Amino acid sequence: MTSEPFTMPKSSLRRSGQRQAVFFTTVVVMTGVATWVMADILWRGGLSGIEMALLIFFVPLFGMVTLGFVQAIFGFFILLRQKDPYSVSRTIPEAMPRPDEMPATAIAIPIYNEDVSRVYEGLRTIYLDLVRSGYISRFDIFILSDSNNPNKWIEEEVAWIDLCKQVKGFGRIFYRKRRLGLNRKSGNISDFLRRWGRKYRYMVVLDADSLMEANTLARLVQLMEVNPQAGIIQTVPAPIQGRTFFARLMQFAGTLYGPIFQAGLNYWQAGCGNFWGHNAIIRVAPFMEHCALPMLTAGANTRFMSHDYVEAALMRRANYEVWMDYEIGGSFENLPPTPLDHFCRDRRWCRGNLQHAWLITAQGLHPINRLHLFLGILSYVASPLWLIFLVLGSISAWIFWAGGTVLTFDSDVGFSSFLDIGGGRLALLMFFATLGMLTLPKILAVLLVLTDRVQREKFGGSWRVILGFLTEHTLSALMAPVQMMFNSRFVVEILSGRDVPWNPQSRDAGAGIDWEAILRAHLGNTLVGVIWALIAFFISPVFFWWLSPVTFGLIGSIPISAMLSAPGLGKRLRQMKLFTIPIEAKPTAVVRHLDKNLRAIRHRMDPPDWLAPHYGIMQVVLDPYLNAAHSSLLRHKPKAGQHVTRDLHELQVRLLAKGPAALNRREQMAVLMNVQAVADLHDHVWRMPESSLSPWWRLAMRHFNTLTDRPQTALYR
Amino acid sequence: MHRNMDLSLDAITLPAWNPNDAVAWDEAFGKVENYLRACRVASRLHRARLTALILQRALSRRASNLDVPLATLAIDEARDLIDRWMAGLLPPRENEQPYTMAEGFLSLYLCDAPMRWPNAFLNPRQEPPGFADTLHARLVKTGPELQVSSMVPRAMDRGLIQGWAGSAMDTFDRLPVLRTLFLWTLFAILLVVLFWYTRR
Repeated sequence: MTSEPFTMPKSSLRRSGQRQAVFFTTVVVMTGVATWVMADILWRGGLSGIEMALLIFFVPLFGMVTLGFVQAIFGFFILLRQKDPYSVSRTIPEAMPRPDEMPATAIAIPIYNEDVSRVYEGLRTIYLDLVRSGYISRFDIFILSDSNNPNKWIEEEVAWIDLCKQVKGFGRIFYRKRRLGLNRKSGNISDFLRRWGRKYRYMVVLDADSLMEANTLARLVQLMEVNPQAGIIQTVPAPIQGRTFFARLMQFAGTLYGPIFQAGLNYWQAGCGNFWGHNAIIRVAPFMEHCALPMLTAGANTRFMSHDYVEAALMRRANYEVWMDYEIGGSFENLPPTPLDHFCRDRRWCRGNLQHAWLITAQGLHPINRLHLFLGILSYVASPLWLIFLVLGSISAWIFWAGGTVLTFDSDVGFSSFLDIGGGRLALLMFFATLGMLTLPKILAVLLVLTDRVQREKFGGSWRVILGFLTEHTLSALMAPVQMMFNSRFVVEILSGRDVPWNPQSRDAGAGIDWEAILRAHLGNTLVGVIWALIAFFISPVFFWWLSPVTFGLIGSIPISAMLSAPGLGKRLRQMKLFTIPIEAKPTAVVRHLDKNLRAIRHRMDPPDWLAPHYGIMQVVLDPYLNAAHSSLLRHKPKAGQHVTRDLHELQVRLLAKGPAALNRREQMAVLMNVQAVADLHDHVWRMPESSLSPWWRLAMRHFNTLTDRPQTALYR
Repeated sequence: MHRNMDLSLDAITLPAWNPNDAVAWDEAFGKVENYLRACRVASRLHRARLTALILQRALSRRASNLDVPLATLAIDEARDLIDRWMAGLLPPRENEQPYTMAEGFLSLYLCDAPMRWPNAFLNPRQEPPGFADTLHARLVKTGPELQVSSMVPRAMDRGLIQGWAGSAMDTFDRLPVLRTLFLWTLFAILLVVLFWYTRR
C-alpha cells in the first residue's frame, strides 16, 4: 500500500492559521497582563527567591486557566450564532447517504477484561440499529479481545456466539482474541489492520462502553467521503447512564458546559484536532501507512501507552486533517462511576501523556499537534506545579510570620499605586479575576441553556439547572485539591519509574460504597489538609482563609468521595430530576434500548463467591457445548513439542487435582489456549470418579448439575 | 451409522441388583445423568431412558474392563454413543475426515438444538423435521478472509532543540506561527519594560 500523502489546500490552512493567531494572541495577552500584575503584587521592595519561583510557576498555571477561559468565550460567541462556520459537519448535505453509495467500513471494538454484558449489549444495540436503518450491509463489526482473565475470555466467546445466534450476525460480527496482548490497545488495532485493514476504506473505533447510532455511523462515513483530506474525524461522545452522584455530576457538567468548550476548541484547532482513541472514524489506508506507533525512544522496546494523540499527530504529519465533530450527535460513552475510578483512569492517562514529552520536538509534527502534546503533559504536570506554588506561598507566609512581619501587601508601590488601590486590594482583585475566569464559562453555558426553552426543559427546568450548576461548581472546587494531590502523586511515581498497570476501567457503580478503598485513598489527603490548615492558622487567620478552598477540600475528601460514590444517592437525585441531562430526559431509541437491556441484566443471578473467580474455567471444562465452542475458536497448531506437552499435562493434572486456584492466571490461559488440553480436561473431569476429583471440582460439578441448565451469559433472556 | 444404534426402550436390561456394586452403580448412574443434563437433555424421562441404556452398555463391557471404574466406563459409553450419533448427523466431508465430537456439539449449540428440539438428543428414531438440515448449515466464522498487509512505524527524526534551531530560520517565512511568536516576544518585552518603569 503506497498512497501519496494528500496535499491540503493552502486556503484552508491559512484560515485556521489566522484563527489560531487570534486565539493564542488573546491567551498570551491575558496571561502576560496577569503575570505582570502578579509580579507587581509580589514585588514589595524586591523579589525574594521564593517570590521569583512563585512568579515562574504562576505563568503556566495561569496560562492554563486563561486557555480554558478564552476557549469558552470564543465557543460561547460561536454558539450564540447558532451555526458554527468552522464545523466539519457543514461540509455534508442534509440528506442521509444511501447504503449503496457507501464504502465498506469496519467497526472495531478493542476490549480488555471489560464488563462483557455492557460491551455486547452496546454492540447488540448498534447492530440492531444498523439493521433497522438499512446500513448493516456496509459495516462489519470486529470485537478485538486482549483479555487475559480466563473468565472474561470465556464470557466474551459465549456472548459472541449467543449474540450472533440471536441477531443472525454470523459473518457480520466477528470475534478475535489475541494470544499475546502486544502493545496493548494500539497493538490490538494494528493487528486487526494487518489482517483485514485492506478490506475497508474506513474504520470506526469504539470503546468497550461506546454506543453509536446507525445514522451517526453513516454520517461519519459520508463526512469522510466528502472530505478526502480528512484522516480522522473524532466525535464528542455524550456521557450516559450515570448512576452514582459522581457520574451524574460529571455527565451534567459535560453536557452543560461541554459545548462551549468544544466549539472554542474546534475554532482554534480546526483540521489539527486530536484523536481520543474511540468514537472516531479513521481513514484506514493512511492510518496504516503513517500512523504505526514508533518506539517510545530510539532503541527502547516499549511504545506509547497513550496512542491516540500520537496517531493524530502522525496523521497530521502525513498532511491529512484530523477533525473534531462536536455537532454530529448520536455518539455516547459511560463515565467512571466514582471519584476513585476517575483517579484510577487518570493515573493511566497521566503516564500516557507524560510519555508524549519524547515526541514534542520530533521533526515534521504540526505546531498545533506539538501544542496538543504539550497541553496534555501540562494538564497533569500542572498539579504538582500548583502544589509547589501553594507550598511556596505557605513558606513565604511562614517567613513573614517568623520574621515578625505583618502579612500584608499594602505598601503603596508599583502598579497598584497607579491604580491607587494598594497591593492587598490588587491581590484580592487578582484572586477574584481568577475565580471569575474559572466560573464565567460555566455561567455562560448556563445562560445559553436558560435562554433556550427546549434545552431548559430537557435539563429539568431553570431552577434545576441553576441548582445543578451551583452544586457542581462547589463540589468541583472541593474536589480540585484532591485531584491535585492525586495527580501530583501520579507524576512523581511515574517520573520515578514506578509501573502503571493496564487495568480495565470500571464502568459500573457496583453495589455500594467501598469504604475501605475510600479510606485508603483519602486518608493521606485528609491528614495533609488538617496539618496544612493548622499551620496556616498559626501563620495567620487571614492566611488560613486564603488557603481554605484547598484545605477544606482535602479535609473533606473522605465524606465527599463516599457521598459521590453512592449509587443510592444517585438514584434519588435521578428521581428528583437533579443533574438531569437531555439524553436522560428524552433518550434516543438506542439509549432506551441499551438501558432496557442493561436493567434486565442487573437482575440476573451471579455465581457464588467461591465459584465466581473461576466460573469461566468451570464452564469450559464441564459444559460440552462451551467446551466445543471454545475449542473451535482456538488456533489448531501443529503438534506441540515434547516439553510443551509435558508442561501442559502437568498443568492439567494440577488443575483437576487441586482446582483452578492452584494455577496462576498465565497458567490458566496456557491451558485454555491449547485445543487438546481443553478437550482432555473435559474428558478427564467427566471420566474421573468423584472421589478422585478435588473438593473444588466436586462442588463445581454439583453447582453445575443443579443450577446450570444452559450456558449462563448476560445474553440469555 | 447411527441407524444401527438400538436405542429403543425395549432393548434396555438394567443390571441386576447387587448390594456390593450398588454404590458404584449409583455413582455411574449419577455421572451419566449429569452428563446428559450437561448436554441439555431436559426431559427427565428421556434422560432416565438414555441413562439406563448407557448403563446397560457399560454393563456389557464391564467383564472385559474390570480395572476401569464403573463411572468411567459409563461415561465412555455415553460419549461413544453421542459420538456415533453425531457422526451420522453431520454431512460427509469432501476429504472424508471424520468429525470430532466437539464439532458435533458446536453444530448443535449454534442452531440452539437443545432448546428448539429438546427431545431430539440421541433420539435418531424421532428426529424432528429440519433438524439435520439446520445442523448442516451451521458454521463459525470468526473473521472474514484475511488480506494480510503491513503496518510498520515510519522513521522519525526526533530532532530535539538542535534540529529545531537549524531549521527554524529556514521555516520562519513559511510558518506564520513563528511570526506570531515573535510578536508575542515583543509583547513580553513591552510588559517587562512597563514593569520596571512603574517602580522607578
